Amino acid sequence: MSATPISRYDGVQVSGGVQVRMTADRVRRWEFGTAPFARRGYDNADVDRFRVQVADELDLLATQIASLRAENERLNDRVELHRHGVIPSAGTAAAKAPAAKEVNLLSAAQREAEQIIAQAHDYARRVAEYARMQYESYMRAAAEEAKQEAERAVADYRSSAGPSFDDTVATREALRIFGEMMVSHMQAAARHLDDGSEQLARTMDRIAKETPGAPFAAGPAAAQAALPRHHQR
Amino acid sequence: MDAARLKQSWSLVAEHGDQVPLYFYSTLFLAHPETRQMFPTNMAGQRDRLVTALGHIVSNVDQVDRLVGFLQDLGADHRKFAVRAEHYPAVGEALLATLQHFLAEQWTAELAQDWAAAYGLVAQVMSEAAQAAEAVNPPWWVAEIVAHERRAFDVAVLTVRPQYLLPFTAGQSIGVSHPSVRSWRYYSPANAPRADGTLELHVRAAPGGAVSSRLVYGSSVGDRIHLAAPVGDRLGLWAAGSSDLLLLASGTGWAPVKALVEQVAAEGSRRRVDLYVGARSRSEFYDSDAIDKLASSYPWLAVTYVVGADGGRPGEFVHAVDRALADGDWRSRHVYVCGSDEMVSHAVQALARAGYHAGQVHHEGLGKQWYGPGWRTAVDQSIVGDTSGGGLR
Repeated sequence: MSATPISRYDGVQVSGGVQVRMTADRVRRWEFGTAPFARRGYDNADVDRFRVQVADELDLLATQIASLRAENERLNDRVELHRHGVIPSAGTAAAKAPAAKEVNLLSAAQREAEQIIAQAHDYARRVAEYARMQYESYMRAAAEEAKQEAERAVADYRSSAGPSFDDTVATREALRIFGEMMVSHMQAAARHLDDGSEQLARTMDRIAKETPGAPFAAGPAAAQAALPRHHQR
Repeated sequence: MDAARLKQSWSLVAEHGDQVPLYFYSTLFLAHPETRQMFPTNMAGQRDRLVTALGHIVSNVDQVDRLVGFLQDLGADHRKFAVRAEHYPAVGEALLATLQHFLAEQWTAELAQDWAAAYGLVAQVMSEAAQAAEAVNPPWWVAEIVAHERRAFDVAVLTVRPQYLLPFTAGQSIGVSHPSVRSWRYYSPANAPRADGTLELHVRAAPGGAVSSRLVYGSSVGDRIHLAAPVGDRLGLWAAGSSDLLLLASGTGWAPVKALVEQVAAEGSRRRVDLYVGARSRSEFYDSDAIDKLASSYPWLAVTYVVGADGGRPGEFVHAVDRALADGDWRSRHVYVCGSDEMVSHAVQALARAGYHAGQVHHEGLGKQWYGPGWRTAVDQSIVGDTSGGGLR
């Protein structure tokens, strides 16, 4: 066992301004002064002084050893960590490692949560796809109807105008009718969407109240923000 | 460390499939509950990634030089998950407990030592790389949303301003996360680097996408988001030299292509650029104002819109590449393709059939998203090391 880590310690006996380290050897060779008046034994004051010093010295050493031991342990762990990435000798690892039963229980819970999330996402995807198809077929039907209406108007105009038939007038009329029809269809759709969005906002409010930690903390403003911009008022 | 023994034991464990990462994460979270909040609620994607990464490490464990780059990237990158040095031993414990569980009586002291040593190496390379990266850039950038525009039912265009300059080049992708979702997605800035450091992001809300839904529906001006260091250079302009360009984009794949157009404008090289932008229907051209503005500002830029689905002919779908190839012969040009995986693979095949060689067609990796299961594990195929990902749209 080498003593190198203890390069310096503070237990010093100051005599004549020179620092002298207290060592086991010095203790052994310590010479006590002789007692006055031919009494047997050592000088009490001398002994007391020595005892106090030795006690202090031992206290100091004890704390130093404790802290060095901790330091050593820490360094050993670091070495092991660098070498293995884990502390296999910790022993606590094995004790701390949760039992397979616990682990499997947590795994099952995690799985179930994921299934619920996946189901919710799947449902949302279907709803969105359905809405997209509805929208496209609605638009197609609206355009078709508006086109027919416009063609009918042009035919009416043609039969009533007779020889004074003007191509520009017919085109203008057709476009006007087509436009008006599309606008009225869009307005109907917008009313429909307004109803839907109000219902959605109410639902989101309700969900937010029921789940305090909901990420999309709703409220009318948030519900509004969740709608396409053409629909925000 | 006995590499053969390591590989053999891993192949036994890997037979248990998804059970393995499930057990691993449950062990980790039970032993160190504080690590749970570092992961998203839905761990499904995370488990794939863990197994892929571990498999990659184990299968290359006897060729450490090939692994080091991968692990260094991984370590530097993991800083954005707020991974600290003390997490490495926790992960090591959970890994060993998992292996022990699945190997049961085949788990020996020697095997334990092999795995501990292998993991120690991995942990050391990763944490040293993480430390080294601290000197280069922050773990993540905090950025403020300064503009948020809903352009379609599921598309938003965001302008964000990082608190510190985030350097990138046109065509690269940056990590994006919202502090509340604990997962990251990669998006290409839709602009060449700007003097004020702001970035434009085009985000489509993917079904089930925590980050994208949050960005499109659940965030607004003033919110703080997190950005991570740029990745990928397959869409970089440098690869095209000074040649003329054909750009094919669809959906939000338009974002990096827009950055390339801006980059061409910035470099002032006067190359000719023909751009074909595709979308399912006319209403899905969410950035046509900006496209028209670019087209009218730059005489060297020609833009063609390609509507994929024609109401009159249901079931048929016209891709941007179909129109481009019908319009002309671009074989003297470099071609950049960005869009969905389906769009990119269709374009790459069509171009190959038409006699375009692979060196002149640039696109990001297929099927493997940034942070998909194959993220960065396909190092062998790529010249530059980390561009296995892509197809983030």
